[in-house]
Amino acid sequence: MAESAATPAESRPPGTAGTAVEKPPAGEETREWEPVIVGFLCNWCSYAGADSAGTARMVHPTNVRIVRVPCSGRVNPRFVLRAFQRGADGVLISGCHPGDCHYSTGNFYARRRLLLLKGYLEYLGIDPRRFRTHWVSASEGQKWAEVVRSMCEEVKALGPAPSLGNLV
Amino acid sequence: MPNNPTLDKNMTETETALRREAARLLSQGEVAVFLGHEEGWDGVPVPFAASTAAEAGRLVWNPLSAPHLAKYLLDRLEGDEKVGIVVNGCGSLALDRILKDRRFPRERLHVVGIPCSGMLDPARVAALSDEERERVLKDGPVDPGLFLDRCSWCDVPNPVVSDTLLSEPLPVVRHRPEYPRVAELEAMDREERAEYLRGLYERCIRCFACRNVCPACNCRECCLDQWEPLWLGRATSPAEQQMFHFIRAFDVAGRCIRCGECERVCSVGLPLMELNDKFLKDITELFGVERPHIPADVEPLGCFEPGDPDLEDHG
Repeated sequence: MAESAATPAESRPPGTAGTAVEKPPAGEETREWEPVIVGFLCNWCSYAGADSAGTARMVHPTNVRIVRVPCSGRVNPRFVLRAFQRGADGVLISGCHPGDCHYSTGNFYARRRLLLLKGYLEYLGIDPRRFRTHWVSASEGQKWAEVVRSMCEEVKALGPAPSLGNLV
Repeated sequence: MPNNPTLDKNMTETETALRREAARLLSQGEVAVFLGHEEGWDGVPVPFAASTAAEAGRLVWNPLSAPHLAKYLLDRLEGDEKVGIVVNGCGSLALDRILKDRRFPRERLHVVGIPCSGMLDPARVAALSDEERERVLKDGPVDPGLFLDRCSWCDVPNPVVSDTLLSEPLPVVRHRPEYPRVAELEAMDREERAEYLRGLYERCIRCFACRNVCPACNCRECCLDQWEPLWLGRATSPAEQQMFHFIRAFDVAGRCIRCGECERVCSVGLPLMELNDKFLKDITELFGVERPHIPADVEPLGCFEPGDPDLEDHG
């Protein structure tokens, strides 16, 4: 299963291609490919931040599938690799600003782990631009919208993530 | 900076001293069992647990006594009998790993230490012709390439944990660890590297020998064996193998002692340290830990600095 980065979305196995559709419904033949981004958001800051972006009706892309976690420290690095293996085009982890963790230090530990993970994903052949970590507080709806918009644009430009040889 | 491993000329005397010491500990009841090596069927020492003074006579110590023994302590967690164990420099790092992870009580141990200037790689020696092998094992000279990889960078010749030392400590020259294989891989094109690693995963038969031998892989219950949650799918696919090696390497990141036992026991000869070394290298570069393979009271991923590099700057 040795596909290159330029694998077209259509050639991927069903279920891994997110919003890409093999046969567009009538009248929508030219529908654009949209990346799937998995977002792990800390319950106390970023999830609330995303919520405030929503309640303020800020327009931002809907490509991020949000998984709510108690803390960025809850994100096991395996989650990230698994997301990529199962067809994510990007993974976004977002938590409280360093120093503002609800559990005091969770995001500091997470930062060390995720720094290592970042280097390792590139080592494994995953473009580092597909994996981002941001600190978004509960009041930073604006920043959340900004983060999502910029990441979405970047991943879109990169195209579908190369397959990691998963069976599913 | 490379090390120049040599063979200890006095190994026969050390072996005699080891047998004597083990026999003494066993006969005086100081330990109930003594972990060492005995001669294996092909002349390569294999782990062995002596439980009587007579059995201590079967213990060997020679240039092929490479297998680490600390992991076998986990089979003896039950009960409160004392256990004797023989370690050289790197063997003591493995033991220290188990102790620092609080997986075995120090007070139940009697550690016999042997300063070590180098050990041969049994697989490389096995590949030699019979007479060549005999010459090497008798009195050298030995091609540096026959030593275990870990000996070429080792700067811990003397056991860091011991109750008895069987010979005089050796002089120590400290040097910064280097990771030439990782640097080589990092210099590759990303696609090319991904392709190379895919080939590696495809060869893996998931025998778990690397996990079983690793002194840092010492959890009570291994996540790779769990059904719930199912961290690792049972299907054989490059992705599952990638996940397996990712979990294995990440879970020992910051605790890996760089002994390379995983690589030595790999049944399909995978260069597994290329995965572990990447973490060691990054830990030094990101968190300033100079010698991350030496067990410390607080491991690099078990602590943090408020001034650690920030992730947002990384894009």
